[in-house]
Amino acid sequence: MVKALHIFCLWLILAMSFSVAADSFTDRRTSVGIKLFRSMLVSNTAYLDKVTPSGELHIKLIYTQNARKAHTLASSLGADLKVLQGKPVVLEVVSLNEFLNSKTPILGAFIVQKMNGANLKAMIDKSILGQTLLFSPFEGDVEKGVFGGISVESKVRPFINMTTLKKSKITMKAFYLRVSKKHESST
Amino acid sequence: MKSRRYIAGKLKTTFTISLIFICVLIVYLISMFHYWQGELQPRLRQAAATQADIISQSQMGLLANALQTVETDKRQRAVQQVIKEILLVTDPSIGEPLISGLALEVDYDTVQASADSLNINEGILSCEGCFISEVAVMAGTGELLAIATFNVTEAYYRLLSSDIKSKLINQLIITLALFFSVWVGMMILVSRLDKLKQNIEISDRAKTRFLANVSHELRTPLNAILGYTQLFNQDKTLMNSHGRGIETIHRSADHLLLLINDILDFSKVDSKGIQLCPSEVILADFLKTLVEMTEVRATIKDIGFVYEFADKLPEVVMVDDKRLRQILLNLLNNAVKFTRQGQVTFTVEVLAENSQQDSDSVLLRFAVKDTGIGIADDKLADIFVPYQQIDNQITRAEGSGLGLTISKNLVELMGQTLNVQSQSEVGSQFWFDLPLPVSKHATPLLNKNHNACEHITGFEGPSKTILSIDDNHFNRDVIRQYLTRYGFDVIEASGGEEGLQLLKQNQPDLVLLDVLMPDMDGYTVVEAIRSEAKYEQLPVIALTAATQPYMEEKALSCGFNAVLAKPLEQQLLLAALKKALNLDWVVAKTSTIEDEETDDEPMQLPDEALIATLKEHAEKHNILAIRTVLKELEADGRYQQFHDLVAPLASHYQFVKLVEALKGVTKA
Repeated sequence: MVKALHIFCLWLILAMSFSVAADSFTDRRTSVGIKLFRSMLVSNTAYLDKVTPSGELHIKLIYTQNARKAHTLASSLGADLKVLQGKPVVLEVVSLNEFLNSKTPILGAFIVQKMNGANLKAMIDKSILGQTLLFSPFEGDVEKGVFGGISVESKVRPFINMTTLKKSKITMKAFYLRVSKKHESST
Repeated sequence: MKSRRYIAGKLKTTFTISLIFICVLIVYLISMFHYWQGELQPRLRQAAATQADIISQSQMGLLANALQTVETDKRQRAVQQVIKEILLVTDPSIGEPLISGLALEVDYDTVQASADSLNINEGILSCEGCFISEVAVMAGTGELLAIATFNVTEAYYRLLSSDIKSKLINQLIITLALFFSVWVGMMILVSRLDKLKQNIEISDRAKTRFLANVSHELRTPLNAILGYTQLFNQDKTLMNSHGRGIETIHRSADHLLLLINDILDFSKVDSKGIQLCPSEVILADFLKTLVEMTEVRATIKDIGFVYEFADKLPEVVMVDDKRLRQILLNLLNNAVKFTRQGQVTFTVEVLAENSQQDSDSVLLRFAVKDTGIGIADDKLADIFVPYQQIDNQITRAEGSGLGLTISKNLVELMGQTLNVQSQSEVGSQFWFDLPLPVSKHATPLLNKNHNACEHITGFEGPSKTILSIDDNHFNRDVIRQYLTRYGFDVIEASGGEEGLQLLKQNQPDLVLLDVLMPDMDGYTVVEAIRSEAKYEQLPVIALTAATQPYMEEKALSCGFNAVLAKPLEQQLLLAALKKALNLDWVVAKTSTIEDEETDDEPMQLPDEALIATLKEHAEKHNILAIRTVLKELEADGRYQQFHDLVAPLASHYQFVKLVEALKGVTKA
């Protein structure tokens, strides 16, 4: 009985350790992703199409459950992104549904939490339709059709889905594309 | 010639092993080369490229700072200064600069400077084997300032490569050394095994020679013993006075012959020297003989004997009856021997019948079951081991220990398996299945009249002279006594030279010639005989105590007309003579000794008091007293028949049967 309890405790500790390790890895990707998202927004040469009638550029951080995390990231991003290409930036934390139902032009959207297949698909479709630069720091999302993400190999690089780029008709600086890792397959 | 063949064989083995090793070595070296070229080198290059990326990226901060210098006039200098610093960085382990060249392309949309003013190329930008790493130079706000293309030297890769290569070569050398050690070890081992094999072959040849010699040496005196006992057996007067002694000598010699034959059979089966000779056999008669032989033994041991034969047994089958009889008799004798009480059951079942247009066949199962001492599970595997007997009071000092091995080998020679099931103190069962062709139109010759010779008194026609050549005086004497009683004239020679002289002097009708003789062997003698044209048709019969299967073939090819094995069987000798001399036997209508005894006056009985005393001794199991009474009866002579009736029962300690026999005699 005592032995079984010991094994259970050990299993619990190991499971928690793995969970913590996984969380810290995802947090690190998200943190680095925010910086690359900003550089990606700056490299968008078609940003003027996304200026709202009130002359603002709208950027969204999308969450499903963890709004607090989204707000933390928003404050980190907002500190250096008050103005973009001379236009005031409006940074909003929105839920998935709010994003999907949004009517205003959106320059870029950052996925704060890992989405399931159906939600991600809906977001990708919405971003292509609205020519929104959708960014996900999570591994595998770019391959599924998200516009941009991060590639972590021997060096950290922007990761761009070229098919989505073509479909959404977003134009990027050639310089930026040169240093980015490109994904060519269809979504 | 033999030595040259041996050397050639040895060289072939050495060459084959060496060839295998060389092939393995070549395959190993090729696979190592492929591993280096296809896997290790690309992996090392990948590692070096990663290293180059990391080094390049580490310099990005310096370049970004320089590009963000606020004063425009100082910016270009700052950037050039940083590039020079980067190109100076040296790895102490390599001893040369890590980055050989750097090209900077600035995004003038984000960096406020005149076009191309900050695009700097410094150092070697293109070299063979170098690693190119493009790095985005970004401002702290995330804006892309420039792309820096680093040309990283392959020094790190060279260092890594030579390090791994030297380790790999070391491992290769160790492996090759081990490989050669195994090679040399293998060659030594093969050489020793070869030597061992040669020794075994020499020893095996010596064993065969020894067996042949022993066989000859043992069978020669037995020939004389059994010959004389066969002669004495036909002498009524002699048998009346010394019958028991003669029978004992005959039985003992016969037993000895059986043991010798067992050993020889084993050596023959072991060396694949036995050829099966199937012939048409009347199955019912064959089985009846076995039953009769076993019944006698079972009765003596006072145990039951049951035989169950399938109703549908074929009448005539094709089988080597001599070998099948040998197997079954061995199993039956063992069953009787190892059963103290209960019974022995002999069954023959038909498992399958196959009827075809040309030939029929039948699958028979022969089984012998007993309620004897059985065999413990852990000993079961040992019973077929040659010369091995399960240690118990019955087997100790009995038999050669080869019977079951021979039976098993013979069954295997017939393409089948001898099976055994046994339980200690409960009993054993031995069985085997045998597919046998069924003969439809057979004229079997199995039912030979074994007593026929006893009725032969002579032959028709003129007298015949037989020359008997044998170095053994007793053998010659037996042959002379055999033949003279049938009216042959016998002349004797003790060797080849003498035989050839007597042949010329006497012109005999037939020669009986011993094969192995000291002065001149039988082959030489027969060749000398055949060398003269007038003796080309002279019948010469070989007599041999050696039993090698090739002997008969050799003898016939040398010019002998027939071969007879020693100890001589009278019937076979007469049959050979009849065939060679084309004789017609004169058969007398006299009865055999047994018949004569039966036809004689009724058995004389001792007085009732003596019979009662004998009965009393039997009831008390007093064997010493019984023997004393029997001695007296034997000495008297009048009660020989009575003595012969009760003596075997006493000698086998069958006291109950003895009492019953005495009761029966009294009543009669």
